[in-house]
Amino acid sequence: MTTDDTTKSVVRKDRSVFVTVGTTLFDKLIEGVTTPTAVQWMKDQGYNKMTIQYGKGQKPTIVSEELFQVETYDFASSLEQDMIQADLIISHAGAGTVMEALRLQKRLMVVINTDLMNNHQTELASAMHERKLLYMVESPNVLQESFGELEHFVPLPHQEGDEFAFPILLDSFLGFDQNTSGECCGKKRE
Amino acid sequence: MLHLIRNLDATRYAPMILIVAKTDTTSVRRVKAYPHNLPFDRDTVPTYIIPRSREVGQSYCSSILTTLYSFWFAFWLVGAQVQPDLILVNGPGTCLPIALSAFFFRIMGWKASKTIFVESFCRVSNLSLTGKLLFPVTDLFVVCWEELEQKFPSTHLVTSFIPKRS
Repeated sequence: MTTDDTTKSVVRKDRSVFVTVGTTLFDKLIEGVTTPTAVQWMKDQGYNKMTIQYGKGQKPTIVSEELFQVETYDFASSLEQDMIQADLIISHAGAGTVMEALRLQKRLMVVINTDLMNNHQTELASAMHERKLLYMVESPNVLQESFGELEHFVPLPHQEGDEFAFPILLDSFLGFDQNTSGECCGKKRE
Repeated sequence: MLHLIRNLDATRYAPMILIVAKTDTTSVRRVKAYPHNLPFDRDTVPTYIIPRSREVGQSYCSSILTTLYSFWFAFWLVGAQVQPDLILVNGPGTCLPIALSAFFFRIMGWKASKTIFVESFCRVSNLSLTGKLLFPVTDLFVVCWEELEQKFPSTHLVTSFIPKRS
């Protein structure tokens, strides 16, 4: 839990990493972010705090150092606060977490859990990687090598979708409002 | 789903009825807590709880019974109780009995409901199993990604979540 270093954080702003695995477990990701290489990379990048949500997996054994604070917990009713505070989010490929992180315009690294069968969430992550919205790592086995590349990754800002796209499509499909044919999605079936 | 329907014209799409899966404990709470306007009164909107065909880990034997029960419930709901003009379904297998019973009542000439299927946002290049099964019986098949729209040209893209690539 949080130590009594409130004075410290007032003086110097934390730069923090938030690691999240969602509702199940992903121990290989947790192992990957707690290796000496990973922690050294984080320190070199100016991060001084890491918060790990490890789900149903093993509680990480990593401990805080003077200049690198580590907090861990299994679950929380909402991850929003930790996401808001993070400067870098390292996450599993869950759609909910990915969308939330992008909505908050966070720098996001998504690691694919290669142990899952038929993991269709890879589809989502790679489509977003292609659009330069996040940085995808294909397997926790190549995580160590990926940190260096993440430095050069410049994410494009995530744009919210068109909240009227569906009403326009539906109205046009049902024959309401012929005048307002939307630019995004007119009726296609002849 | 809430994000898709939140700007629907409440005078055109009324009355609205919600159907949620029995094991889905979050959707009803999410409706109540949704931070934007919705095209219905969230405190009084009629909400039906549909039994699930099969729970994760349930034995195949008993899942035959529960499947029959969920189909029976869907037939009653679509054919008698609600008789909807428009059915909007997304994602999981729970919507299968609803969409199939609507199709049944249409070919029987009892009630011509229109069915719209919204494919999961997670599906970028392949249809979900439910999507594949319902593809032939839906009137409008909606996808969230351009990749999927290009692969299946009879689907319709909504840019509600991801903007079109420039």
